[in-house]
Amino acid sequence: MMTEFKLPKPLPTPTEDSKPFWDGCQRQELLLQKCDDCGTWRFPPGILCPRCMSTNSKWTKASGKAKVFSWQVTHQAFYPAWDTPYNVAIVELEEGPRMHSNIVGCKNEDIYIDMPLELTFEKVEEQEWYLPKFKPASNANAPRKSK
Amino acid sequence: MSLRDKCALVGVSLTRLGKKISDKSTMGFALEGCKKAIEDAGLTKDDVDGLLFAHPSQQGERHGFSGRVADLLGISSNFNATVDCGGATPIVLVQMAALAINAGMCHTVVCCYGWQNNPIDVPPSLPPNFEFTLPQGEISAVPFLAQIARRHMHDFGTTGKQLGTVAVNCRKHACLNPNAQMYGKPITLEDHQNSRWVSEPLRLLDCCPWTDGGGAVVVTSAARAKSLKHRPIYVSGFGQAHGAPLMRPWRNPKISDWAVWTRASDTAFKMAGVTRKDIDVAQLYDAFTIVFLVQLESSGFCKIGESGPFVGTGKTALGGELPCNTAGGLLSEGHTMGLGHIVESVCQLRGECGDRQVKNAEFAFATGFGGVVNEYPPSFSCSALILRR
Repeated sequence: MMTEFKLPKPLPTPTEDSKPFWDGCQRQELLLQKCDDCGTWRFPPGILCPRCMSTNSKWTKASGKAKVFSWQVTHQAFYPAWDTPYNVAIVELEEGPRMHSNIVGCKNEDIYIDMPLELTFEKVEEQEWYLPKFKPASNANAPRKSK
Repeated sequence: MSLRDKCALVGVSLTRLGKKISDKSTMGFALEGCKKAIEDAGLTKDDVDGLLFAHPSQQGERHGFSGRVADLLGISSNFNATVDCGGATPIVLVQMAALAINAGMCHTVVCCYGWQNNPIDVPPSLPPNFEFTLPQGEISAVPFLAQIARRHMHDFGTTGKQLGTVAVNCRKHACLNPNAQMYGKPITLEDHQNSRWVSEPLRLLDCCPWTDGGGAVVVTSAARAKSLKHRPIYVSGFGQAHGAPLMRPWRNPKISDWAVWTRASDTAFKMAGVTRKDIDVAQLYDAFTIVFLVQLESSGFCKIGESGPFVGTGKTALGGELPCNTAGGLLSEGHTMGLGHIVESVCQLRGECGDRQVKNAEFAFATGFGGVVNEYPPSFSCSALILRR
């Protein structure tokens, strides 16, 4: 790529509602709110359950098991902080909710829909911030032979 | 009380559209659009008593923008709002105008839009609250629609060439529209297939261009419309649907299941008292080729998952059974947030479209689609409009 100009990688800007989620990530725990009344796990963080509107919930550790719902490979970065091409996936957690994350530990061309994943945490460069990422689970298809 | 045919579109306008037009601000484009639409209606500004503006997001906080537009036009209005439903907004404005007129709040409303991509008074910045997308590298609408395209391909076998057919059709139509941003720049399917990846599986030619420009439409009561310059184009039916089904799997298991959006067009068809078969010309929101395909499905013109083969057989090109995006769409006329779709619908029903005129067009259908894809949950709005001459 011609663009060598790089901006620092942006960090999350937690809100009052999402702070427990990000605090959990810094301890390398994926915490989601689980509704006390209907049992639904929710993401993004919010003060009430979008299924039953209950405001009773507990931050609960997710299993970390997930699968690829869809993904794209960014070739043109609208915010030049990463080396292109890189992937961003929508992952579906075992508990139900979906979230955007990156698949690490495999090539972009080896990602596939429904690929089984497991949670990992990665530090954003030298900054004291951990982001939840996902890597292929042990039962994922073997990578393709490189050319 | 049905609002079928109770209001009419009596004036429309678009400004010059282009990738970089540096002589006007967002406000400037909006004002030029208002002036031209009021003149097209054969009205003066004193005949206008309502003003709605499609909100230009990401250019700083612009409180009370619609009020400023009205003041700068010299209008003292009885009904004003600045509205943000993303790309669904222009059609939502027409609906709000019809509601307000029928409620007796006002009688003639200008619905306008303006957009300067590189405003010299606003330094480039990132809005807050992108905590669940920006740190992950998911920026702008393109990647999210690319993920939708990937899933559509997986679920239904939709191909990159079928996406390309949407782009090529729009470009063909734009080449019949001298005001289109891509006028005089034809493309082939090979050009599409050779264009670079932006967010794979979307290529450059799957994406609409950046467009500076604006425009407006004038809505008034059917009774008042009868005495104006042009034949009235009646607002026959409209509807909306909103939601974030893609991120709420307990409601909607598949990303490609667009059932939620179908409510917008179902409501519109019910109000208008016509069926999909009655539509002579359609303008479907097409910021990206994949958006056009899902709009085709969610508007009920084909079954969910069958839009790829549907466009592949040429049905949506001029001369086909459902000519779509006849001015070139967002993809090739330019990104006017969908306002162009309303303007083209009116021009088709007036019979003003020259080489791209759909013969004897009586009913037109248009959709808007938009939302915030970078904030969580990524939520969409869908708006639908049926017009008749």
